Amino acid sequence: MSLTKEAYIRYKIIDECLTNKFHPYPTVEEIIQACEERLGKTFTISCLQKDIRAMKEDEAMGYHAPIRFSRQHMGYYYSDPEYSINSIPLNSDELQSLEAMADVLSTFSGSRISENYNQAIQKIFAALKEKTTQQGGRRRIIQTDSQINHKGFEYFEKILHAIINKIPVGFIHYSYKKRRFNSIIAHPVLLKEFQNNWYVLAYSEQHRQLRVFGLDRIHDPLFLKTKFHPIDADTVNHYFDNIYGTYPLLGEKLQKITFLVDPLLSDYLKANPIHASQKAVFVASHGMVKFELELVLSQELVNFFIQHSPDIFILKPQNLIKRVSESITRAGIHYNLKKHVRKTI
Amino acid sequence: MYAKLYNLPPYKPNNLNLRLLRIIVDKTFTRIDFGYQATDYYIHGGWANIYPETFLRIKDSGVKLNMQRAVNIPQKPEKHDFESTVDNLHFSLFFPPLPDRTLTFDLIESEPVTPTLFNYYNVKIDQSKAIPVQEKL
Repeated sequence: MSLTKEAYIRYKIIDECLTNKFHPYPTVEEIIQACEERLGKTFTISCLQKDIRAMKEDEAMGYHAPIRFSRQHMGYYYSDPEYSINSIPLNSDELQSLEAMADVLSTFSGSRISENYNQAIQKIFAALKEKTTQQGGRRRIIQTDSQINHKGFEYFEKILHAIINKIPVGFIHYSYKKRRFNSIIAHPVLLKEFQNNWYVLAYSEQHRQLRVFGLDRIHDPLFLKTKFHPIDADTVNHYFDNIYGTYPLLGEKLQKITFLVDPLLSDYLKANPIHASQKAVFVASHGMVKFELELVLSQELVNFFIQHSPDIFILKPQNLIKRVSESITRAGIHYNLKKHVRKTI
Repeated sequence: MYAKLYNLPPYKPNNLNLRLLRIIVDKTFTRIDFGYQATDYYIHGGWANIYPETFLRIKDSGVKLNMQRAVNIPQKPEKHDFESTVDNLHFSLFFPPLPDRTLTFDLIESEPVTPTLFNYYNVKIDQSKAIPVQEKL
């Protein structure tokens, strides 16, 4: 049953009247008056009686409101003085679903993001526990990937606040690659997660373009009172569309990437495409598959091919082949030198 | 009055591993943020500290502002030992507030200067390029 917005507001008003400790046992006329004042239209006694019946008996809504009429006080009341429709009237199916989703939500608590979010999530858990009979020691039924003691989450909320309120931020940034600190003035527009790491997409005054900064590389962000550099929503929404990961390689453009994949890995890639542009363009009789992607090369994509190099043969582009083969060659050299390395450590 | 942030262009430092990143002038202090990249001169990157007698010297008036505290870097004779040549350190030095105007100053750890000292000469802060900081520090 779909509940109209106005009906829902009426239920809320009725609930407010019945939980008002300063004016107990409201009469039907008083409740109608409250509805009329709030909604600016008239209501009949029968309309209100239908609402009360729905709150009491409608299974789909699931309120099961314990509304009674007191002949002594000539007004309505809740037989359970603690009852309110605001106290999460969930049916058992909804509770089960929410319990399962709570496991997903829990990955966003703890060290992953800010204290405020953590508190909000803990409140949901507390409310949920009150409603479920299986209190304490519940076996988790969903486990997602999360990392503990991960650097960078301490500024998550501050950067989020800057994005929402369009506040430029000055921070110290350390580049792992260049091994250099920089003071950056950034106009943040988006927080992005990729493989459990958080990044902020921001217009950088120094670079005069949108840049991605890993939160783990940011120190001491400060809100600045200066004009915010706006970036249109379309650019922000589609910035990562053609990138696997977050860091496009310098000077790279959107291009076709084709590669052959062994049968075992190809099943995995068919089930879990790495990007929306992924297509299986040819399947050999023995199960090897030729895939095609259309992407801007990124460090994360290079890493993906290195990780799966025993099972993947890249056909093009050449610069991707060069990067991957150089990395594998370097790894080979490292392992050939392993005896020497062990001696020095 | 808001604190003011001066985001400076890269200054040529006396010590090539040190980078002066930004200056924040508040009504009660001047904070200078630095980044230090460990050196490959030493096998494990060497060490870093700051002399407690470090000061700022304003060029036109000659006024000296002595360092009040150092955050995230020990003061001599204590030392921060790096673990490797790729290690790094982000630290702040606090001084009394610089006058609220365009000026040039030197940051002196010690003189006469040697290659390992954190001395900076002729650092200019331009009032017109100050950015107000929108939060209490």
